[in-house]
Amino acid sequence: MNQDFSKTEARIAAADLFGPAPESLRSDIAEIVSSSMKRQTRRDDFRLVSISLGFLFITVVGMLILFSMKTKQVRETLQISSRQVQPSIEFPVSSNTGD
Amino acid sequence: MPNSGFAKLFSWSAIAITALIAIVGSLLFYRYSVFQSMLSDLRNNGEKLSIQEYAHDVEDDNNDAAFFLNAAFRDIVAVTTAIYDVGEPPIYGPLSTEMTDRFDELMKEHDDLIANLCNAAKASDISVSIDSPVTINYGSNNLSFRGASRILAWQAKVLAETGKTDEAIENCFRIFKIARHSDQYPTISEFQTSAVGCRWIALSALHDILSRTVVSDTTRSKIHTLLESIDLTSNYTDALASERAYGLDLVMGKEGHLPAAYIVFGKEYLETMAKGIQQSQLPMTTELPKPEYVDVSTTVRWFGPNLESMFYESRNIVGNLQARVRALRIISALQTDPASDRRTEFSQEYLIGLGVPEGMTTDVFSERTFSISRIDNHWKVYSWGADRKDDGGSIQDRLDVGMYPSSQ
Repeated sequence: MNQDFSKTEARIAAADLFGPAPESLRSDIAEIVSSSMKRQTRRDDFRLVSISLGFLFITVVGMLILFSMKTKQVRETLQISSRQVQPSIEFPVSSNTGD
Repeated sequence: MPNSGFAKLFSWSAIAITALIAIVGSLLFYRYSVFQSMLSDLRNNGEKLSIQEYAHDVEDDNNDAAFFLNAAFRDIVAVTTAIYDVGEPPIYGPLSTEMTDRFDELMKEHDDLIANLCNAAKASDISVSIDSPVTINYGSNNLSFRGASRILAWQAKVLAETGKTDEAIENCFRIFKIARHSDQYPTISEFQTSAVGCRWIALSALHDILSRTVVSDTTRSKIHTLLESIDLTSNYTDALASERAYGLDLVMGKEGHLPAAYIVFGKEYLETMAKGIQQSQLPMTTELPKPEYVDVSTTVRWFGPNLESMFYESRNIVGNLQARVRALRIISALQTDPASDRRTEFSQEYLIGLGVPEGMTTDVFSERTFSISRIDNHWKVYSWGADRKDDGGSIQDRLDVGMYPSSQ
């Protein structure tokens, strides 16, 4: 739907639908048609945004679930839960301190 | 909703971002899945995936080399410092009179030191205590395998000077035993500095004594048996496997949080390490292309290129040590033939005839025999080294690899 749908275009549409009619009636019909089409446009826009955001949400959540499942498998393979708690990371040093 | 144009733009942007996330996420997930699958395969094959898994405790202190090396640590540091205050001890030849006197004094001051080192060598096992997989400080143990080896090598020189050749050679055997204990400690740097380093010290000390003294047939036979048993190929493979475990530990965050690096680089890391481990099992005669050095500090790249350089250099270090072992075995055999001094040709058949196993008569890096010559009453036996080029026996410059007293 074109957002710039004008009353003139609505009027033409009303004439097509109802044929010759008093100007006031034409104007009212045009107003109704115009606002109806605007509402339709808004609904369509809302639907489009919702669907796209929905896809985005599902994709992100899906990826997070997949990666967390895989991470759980990696942690189990590395047996991280049974390890000692590590201290903060320092630069590696050799044991050959007596050399 | 401001207007329909904005809604469309917003929607298409969201769809584009979704598609991007889906594509990049799928690629990363594939890599992560392969990484996890490779980890599982390693685990199922019984491989260790953290250097904490290398830790083990020996209950009986009398059978624990770490107990004695730990007890000797302060004495090792004190004696080493005091000896270097006198001067740099020679690798070949006796210690100077001043140094020998100082060494004797130090042995009286630190009267438990040699006993501790002998007990460490005698111990059947060694406890490996690793508190932190990141710093590798090996817990409360202060171990210096090389420091211990040097003290024993210096004492061997002193013993050899006083005619106690067999005792001196026994000290060399002790260094090899300490080296075997160090084999249990993980990482490639530990392998290079301790496992290879101690054996290097022991070979030099053994060569020094063999070149300056006369040894009994029984002792020589023991030396031959020992030299023929040295093969660091499997040790090197094990060291690379422990380095792989260390690498997995190193990128781990605090308290075991898995880092994003696993997702991005985990697959490549394991594949690169697998390549290195595979290369470590190839015969040394298989020449590998020298990797180009890549300065990763100045580029946004992962550390793979430097790992390949490490594989190349480490493999050559193992080859160099094996070449020296064979060279010493040949020298020892040549010393048993009184007529060897007058020879100019040293064929493989001749060396085999002297008792050298066939496998030890050829260069480690090629199928050709060692270059052997007699210079200034000493045998010079050398391999052409990893470059497979004869640099005229330039052992001191490390262009060739072998044994010659004045150039160790």
